[in-house]
Amino acid sequence: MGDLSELQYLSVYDNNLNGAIPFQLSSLRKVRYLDLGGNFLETPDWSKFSSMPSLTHLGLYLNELTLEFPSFILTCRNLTYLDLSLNKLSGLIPERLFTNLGKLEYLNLTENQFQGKLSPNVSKLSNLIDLRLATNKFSGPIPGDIGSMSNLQLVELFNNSFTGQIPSSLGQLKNLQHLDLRMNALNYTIPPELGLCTNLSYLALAVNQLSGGLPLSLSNLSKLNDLGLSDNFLSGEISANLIGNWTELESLQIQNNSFMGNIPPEIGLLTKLQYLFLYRNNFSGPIPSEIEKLTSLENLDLSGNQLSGTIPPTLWNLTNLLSLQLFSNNLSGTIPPEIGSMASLVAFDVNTNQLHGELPENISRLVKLNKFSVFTNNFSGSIPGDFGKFSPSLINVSFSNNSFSGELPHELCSGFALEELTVNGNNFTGSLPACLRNCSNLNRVRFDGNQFTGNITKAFGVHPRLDFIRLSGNQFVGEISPDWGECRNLSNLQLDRNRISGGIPAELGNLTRLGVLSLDSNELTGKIPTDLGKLVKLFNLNLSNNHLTGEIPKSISNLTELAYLDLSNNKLTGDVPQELGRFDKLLSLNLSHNDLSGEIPSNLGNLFVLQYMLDLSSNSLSGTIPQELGKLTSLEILNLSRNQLSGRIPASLSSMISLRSVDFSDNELT
Amino acid sequence: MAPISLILSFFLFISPALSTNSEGNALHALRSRFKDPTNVLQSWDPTLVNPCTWFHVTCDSNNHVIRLDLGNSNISGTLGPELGQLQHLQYLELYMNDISGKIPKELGNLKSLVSMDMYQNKLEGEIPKSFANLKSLKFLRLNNNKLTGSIPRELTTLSDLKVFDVSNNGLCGTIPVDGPFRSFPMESFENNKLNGPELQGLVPYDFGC
Repeated sequence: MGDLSELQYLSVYDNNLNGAIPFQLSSLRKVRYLDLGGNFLETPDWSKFSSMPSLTHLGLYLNELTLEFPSFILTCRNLTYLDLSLNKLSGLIPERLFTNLGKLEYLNLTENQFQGKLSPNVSKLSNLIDLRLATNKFSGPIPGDIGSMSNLQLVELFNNSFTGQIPSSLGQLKNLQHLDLRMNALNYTIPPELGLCTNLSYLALAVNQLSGGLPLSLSNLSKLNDLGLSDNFLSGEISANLIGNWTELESLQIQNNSFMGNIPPEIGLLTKLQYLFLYRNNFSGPIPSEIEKLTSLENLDLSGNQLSGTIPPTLWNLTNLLSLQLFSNNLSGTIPPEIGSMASLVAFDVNTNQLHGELPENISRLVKLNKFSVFTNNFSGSIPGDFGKFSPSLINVSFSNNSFSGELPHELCSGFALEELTVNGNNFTGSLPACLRNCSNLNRVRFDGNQFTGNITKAFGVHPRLDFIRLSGNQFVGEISPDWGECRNLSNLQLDRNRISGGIPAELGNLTRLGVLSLDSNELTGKIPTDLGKLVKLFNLNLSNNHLTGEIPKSISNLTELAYLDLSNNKLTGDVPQELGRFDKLLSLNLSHNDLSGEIPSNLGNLFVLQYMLDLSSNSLSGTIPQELGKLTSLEILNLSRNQLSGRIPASLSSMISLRSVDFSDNELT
Repeated sequence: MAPISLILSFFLFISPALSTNSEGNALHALRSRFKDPTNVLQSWDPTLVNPCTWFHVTCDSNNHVIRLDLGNSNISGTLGPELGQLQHLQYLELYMNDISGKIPKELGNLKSLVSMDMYQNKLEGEIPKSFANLKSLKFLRLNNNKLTGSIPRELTTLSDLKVFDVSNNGLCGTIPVDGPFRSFPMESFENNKLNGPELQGLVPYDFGC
């Protein structure tokens, strides 16, 4: 290759060349353009490379180069274009880069591991147009000398550890179009001099520690397409004068700051806006009705502010909107039928406001809808009966914490795509939509706190991703299907306070991720399955208030994570298993109101973190109160009443220094 | 080579919407200070509207956190000031872990606290004087840590305090004798460098501390 002495142009990019770059390449004295990018080339011994005085364009990007900045490049004094991006180069940038390569117009070191400070000598690259140093480990301040590099059009320093102020000298860069300083540790305020860079179309300062307000001089940046200031500590108001000239703006992102005051009506002048993110600030006052003029708007997020008043009726004219997020504000009023005209709407989230009234029928027309969330408002009435029928992409639906009534729409899950369905805390009645059975992506389901009366036996099927389900506090009937045992991802299963009958299926023992199992306050019969002892992650087991019979299975003692065990108010017989003494995490034990007999095991004294209660009352326990109970020094409530305990109350119980309530009544104690 | 144009999508920090619930955020901050090798905190999803369905968190009917039960959970790391924001917390159970660092003075803001069990950890530094603000406190168990300094005399104002165990630490100075301290057994103070009960009638003098 090195013998092609007349070669001027060599381009082998985007191949699979590997191995070290051969030094013979450097003997191509006439080569002006060399592009080896997009291969798997490794670091050679750069000292074997001779100088390449004709070289003007050198591309070594996207290879496997490691170690220090290649020294031979520093001798190629005619270089105008140098791209070393996307390698694994490290160490400091040699000063000779700045002093020798004065003809450079394009310098790209993006995505390497270069470190140290950016030398003020960078300004010696007086012809530089493109400066790209992003995604490295540069530190220290951005040198003010950068302001004298008057040819600069693009500066990318993002994703480094630059500190200190944004240099005000940047205001001298009249040709600057693109400035990206995101993801550094820059602090202090945004210099007003940036308003002098009137050719700026892209200004990105997000994810830094900038404070103070936006200088009014930024209003001069009339060519801005993209303005990103999010995730800083910026404050103050957004004034009409500031934004009035930003008529080319397509993306305005100032989320996660401390901006305050009203959203100026002049926002309507920014007619090219596609993205408007003002979320998580302290904006107050109304959403200006002028927002209807933003006809290109696709993503609107005003969430997490203190906006008040009603949603302006004009807002529903934004028919190109894909995502509307207004949650966590103080908005009032209703959702009008005009919402149906937002035909492209994918995500709609108005949770945690003071909206009221009924949901309009037209929400059924939103065929592209993925997410629909109205929780924690004052909505009432029924959910429109066709909702979901024409929206097969529905993934996330939440109606929770409102005053909704009536039945859930029958075809809510017509596309079987639902992952999250939460309707807790309403007055819903009737049964569950039949399509739920086939929603194999279900992850989180809450129906608790309603008046559902349906039959749950076959309402659900096998849901391999189901993690959390709570049906508590309704009037569900039917039985617990063995299919629940196939929902292997379940960590929380709560069916308590319903009218569920039948037995507890042994298949529940397959739910090895289960942490919480609440079946209490139902009409369950039969025995506690031995297989429940396989639920080794279970920390909360509540089977109380049922008609369970038989003995407490010894396998229960395998549930070593148990913190709360409540089997009270059943018809359990047999002994209190002494194995229960192994629960070294148990905080509360309630076996009261059963037909348990035999003695109180002395091992219960080993439940040394038992704190909330030990209730064995209303059983047929006999024998003496074990003195070992005196070791329960954290226990607050002890109830052994209504048994047939005999003998004396042991003196050791005086060590139970945390007791605030004790009941030994109705026994045969002496 | 064509410049990689950073399209608008680069900007878009469309992260899942973190809840604005302050108690959830406080617990989320606590989690970030902890190392949790057995994934006890796996259910702590900060995008949920409140922390009331998180495992080992108990809320009251107004969705305020009243219990935090993380005893014996293999947790290490430190505590932070945000824990003090849980204004309705009654039971703070962090015992039998490997928690190190100092006890944040902000825990004195937990005005509803009934029980604080942080025994058997690696906590160091002093018992904050701010604990005197825990007016509802009944149970305070800090035994088996590496606490130093003296027992703040201000704690004698906690009239509901029934159990106080600071045994097995490096505490120095004298043992208060006023208020609830009249009834605590000597075992509550053993294995420290304490100089016995303070002598009444003399000018308080924390010697050796």
